[in-house]
Amino acid sequence: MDLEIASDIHGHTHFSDGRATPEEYIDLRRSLGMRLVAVADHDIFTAVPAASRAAARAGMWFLPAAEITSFVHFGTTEAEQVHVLAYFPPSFANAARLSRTALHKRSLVVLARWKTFVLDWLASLPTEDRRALDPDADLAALPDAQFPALQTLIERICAARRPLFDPFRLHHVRFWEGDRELFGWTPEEAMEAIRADGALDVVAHAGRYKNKERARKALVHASGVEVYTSRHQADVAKGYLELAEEQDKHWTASSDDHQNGRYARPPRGTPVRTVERIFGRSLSMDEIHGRG
Amino acid sequence: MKVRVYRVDGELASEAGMAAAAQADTDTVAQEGVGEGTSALLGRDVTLDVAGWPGSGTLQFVLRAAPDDILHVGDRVKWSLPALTLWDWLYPGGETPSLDQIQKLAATVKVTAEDEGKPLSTQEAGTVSFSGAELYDARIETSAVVIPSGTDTLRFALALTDTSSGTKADFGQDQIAQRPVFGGALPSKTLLFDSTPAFRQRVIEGGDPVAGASVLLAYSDWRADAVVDASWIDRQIGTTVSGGRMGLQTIPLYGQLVHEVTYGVCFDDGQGWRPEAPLSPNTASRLLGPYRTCFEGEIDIPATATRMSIYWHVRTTLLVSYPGGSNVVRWYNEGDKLLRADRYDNPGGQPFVNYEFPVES
Repeated sequence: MDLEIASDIHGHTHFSDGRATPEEYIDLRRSLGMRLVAVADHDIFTAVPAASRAAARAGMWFLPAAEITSFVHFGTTEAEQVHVLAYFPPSFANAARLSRTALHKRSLVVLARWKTFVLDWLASLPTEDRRALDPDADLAALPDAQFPALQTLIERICAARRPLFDPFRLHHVRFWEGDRELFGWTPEEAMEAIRADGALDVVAHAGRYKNKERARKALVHASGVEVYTSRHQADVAKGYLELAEEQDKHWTASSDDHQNGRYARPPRGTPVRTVERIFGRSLSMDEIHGRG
Repeated sequence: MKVRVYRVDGELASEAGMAAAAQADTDTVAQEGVGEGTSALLGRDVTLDVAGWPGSGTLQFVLRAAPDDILHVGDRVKWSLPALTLWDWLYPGGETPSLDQIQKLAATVKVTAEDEGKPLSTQEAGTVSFSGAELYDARIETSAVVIPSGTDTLRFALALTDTSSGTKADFGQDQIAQRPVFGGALPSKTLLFDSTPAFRQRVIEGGDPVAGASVLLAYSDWRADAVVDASWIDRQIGTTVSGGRMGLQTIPLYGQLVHEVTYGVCFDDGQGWRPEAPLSPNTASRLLGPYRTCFEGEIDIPATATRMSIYWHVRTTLLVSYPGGSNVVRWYNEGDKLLRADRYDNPGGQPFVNYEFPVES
């Protein structure tokens, strides 16, 4: 069996649909003795500066990452999201490097369009509702990266205007389903973009997709598969582990933690082989065992 | 034992290639730096890097190469700064430069040494060379400054200039995090027990605690976490119903784990073990970074002591506090303090064995 490194490299913060700050996210994993960590928010890298600083303070390796949204059958009644994780080497936890990647440039557009999407929805509401959700009328002035992300916005709606929760929840999926330019690419196209940026592409929670045949086709193209995740039962994970070994894929073990339930620690670590592929270099035995 | 420490002479300073304007300051520093103390730390070489994304909080100078994780009086500090990062600060959103262009960049770090908020001196470290053969690896290497005696804090400002165009950008002291410095108040010292990740205990200023002087006892939150193995403590105190993108969800509510750290100490002065005493939690400690708690307390070392023994006692409590709302399921009473762990910290986990330190006379 390959050596593994204690890690959790797929989870979310309050910059997307999670509830934790980047610092809280890192500290939980530090307290569990993990040595490698990544935040993989949906399509954005907003947590990277704070999370990378927190990981550095804790002496942990940090991978800049994102969970990239793609679609199969975009625009049809069979449309289904397929998520591809993008893992950059630790050296990309630096604005000069990360900001020059195509995925980071795309993330800035995602942030800007999310803000527009929400402001348009607010503008469609009766004045009383709008004032309840934006009492100081200051949302529009916020920088894109500081604009409330999905979970934060939902909490604001629940606290200030509970009847709008379900309408917004039904409405928000249009953000992805209605933007072909940002999200209408196929998983394979997303994987190619990830590779072109120098990152490793890994299909997230592969067992979740309804269209199993299409998902399997995407897996064949992928560099890696997320084998262990809170979305996979043990037998499902076992099947994807066998697939990864048969097809010589990289594989990962993560939580996909959104802070919605008790934290489910990944049952395995990330194989050293996969970590070395992301880092772009081999690891010494001292590094693998955390010595020195 | 008195030990001569950090001799910093003019030759060393000029070797560092410091700007002429800074030389006078450094010479003054050098004279002040020569003296007797009790630290075993001699002038050490430290290289700082920069961390932080403009627009996402305060910039920080972080250690890139150093004998340990803390700056000391007498350290010879220089900077190795990622040139492309600095270029992006000078030209936000601009085109990616060539290696030739980026090597026209000049950086000057202005360093103000302070003691209890009062400036002691100001020095400058400027560009002396570039390293790295590729754009992403290019670094500005600066001259060095020496941290003067008596310093407890360094404040920084950074000036960037593109010498080919004259474009400038300045980052003031309010934009760059200050750094604490240790060793400026000898013979007072700091005895830190931490874990990153292995347990370690050390006198920050070097050497040993000094007889007749004070020592700050410090114990880190992460060490306390490890002693009680906080990762296994169930913090859940109830549930609530919360909205998420999948609909309403029942989510767990967690309480806050709080450590109480006490210590027992004994010297070979015939007085025996002192009563176990608590340390105070400090969330703004000079020893640890942000989001951390250091448990601290100062004690006086008896003038006749030659050895000290110490042990630690960590008690961990779960504080119960619920948010408002009608959907909260409470497992406990608001304000409950539930003892969840009670452990002693002895060397190797051996009971009735203590951490032993010689005491300097």
